[in-house]
Amino acid sequence: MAFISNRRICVFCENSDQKIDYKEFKTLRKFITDQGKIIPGHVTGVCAKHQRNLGRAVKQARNIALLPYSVDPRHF
Amino acid sequence: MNYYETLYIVHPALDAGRLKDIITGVEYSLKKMGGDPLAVELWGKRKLAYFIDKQKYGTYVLLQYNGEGKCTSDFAVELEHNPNILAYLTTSIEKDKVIEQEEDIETQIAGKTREAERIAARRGEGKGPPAAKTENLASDSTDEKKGDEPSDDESENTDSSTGGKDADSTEIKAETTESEDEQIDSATQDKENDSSEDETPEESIDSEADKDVDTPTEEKSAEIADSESDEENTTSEKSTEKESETKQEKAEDEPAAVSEEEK
Repeated sequence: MAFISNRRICVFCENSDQKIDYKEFKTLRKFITDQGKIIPGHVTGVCAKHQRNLGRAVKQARNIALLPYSVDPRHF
Repeated sequence: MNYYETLYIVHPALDAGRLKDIITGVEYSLKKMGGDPLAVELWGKRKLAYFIDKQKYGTYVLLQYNGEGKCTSDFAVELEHNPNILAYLTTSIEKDKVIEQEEDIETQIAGKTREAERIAARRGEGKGPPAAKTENLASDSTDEKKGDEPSDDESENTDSSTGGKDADSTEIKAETTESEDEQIDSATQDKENDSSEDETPEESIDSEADKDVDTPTEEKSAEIADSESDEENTTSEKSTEKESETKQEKAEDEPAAVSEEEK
């Protein structure tokens, strides 16, 4: 039985063109939940290095009201 | 010298002229703090992810500059005390991330205002057809109302016609009732003739009435007897008349039958 790897590859490692920036809030929106929480890296497959940059960018975008801090789940 | 960028949100109520004044004032304060503005990019009015100072929308402006580290803190204090700026974020950037500003702030504001006007026009167009539709619908409704009025008239006419029909039907019914009454009268006459020929039912009824009437008190019986006598007299007269008529008819029919037999 061949070993099938379930390990996901980091999106930002694959695509070097895709930059992590707080101004790119549309791409950051893919890595937060509907409630506004940051999705962990083992779920999205983002490596630790890019996950740190991602978390920082999300927090900066929250600070300038590009992304929400939290969304009430009753509003879904 | 380091490169920085500051993204700040201007109050959405400010129009194009006052927005330009705010942006130029911020640049002037930055220059006063020792910074050198490199590029200004106007993002335009956007919806905020959450309310800031009870405002749902805000105009985003990105300002890139270079300067010493101390100018950022002084610039932050200046932005903090500006009531027209809702929020700001200062980050350090690399030199290659500096935007090459192609358009002046005036053209950007004009472009954003044009975009806003276009968007408003689109929204107006988007809302226009429904408004036109509503107008059309209103006109249609008026037309329908106008059309309804004839229809109402028609309905009234129909009602009147139905009323006429009803009247006609009542008349017809009246005629039918009259004809039926005539038929009934004729039938009753025939029956009377038949009964006059037989004479048995009336007698039987009278006998039954006598039986029923005889049972009460004597006074009533006497009165009833008087009335019965009158009725008997009338019935007897009628019976005699009818008998005479029937005899005449039989007499008329019998010679014809005899003549047929002779033939």
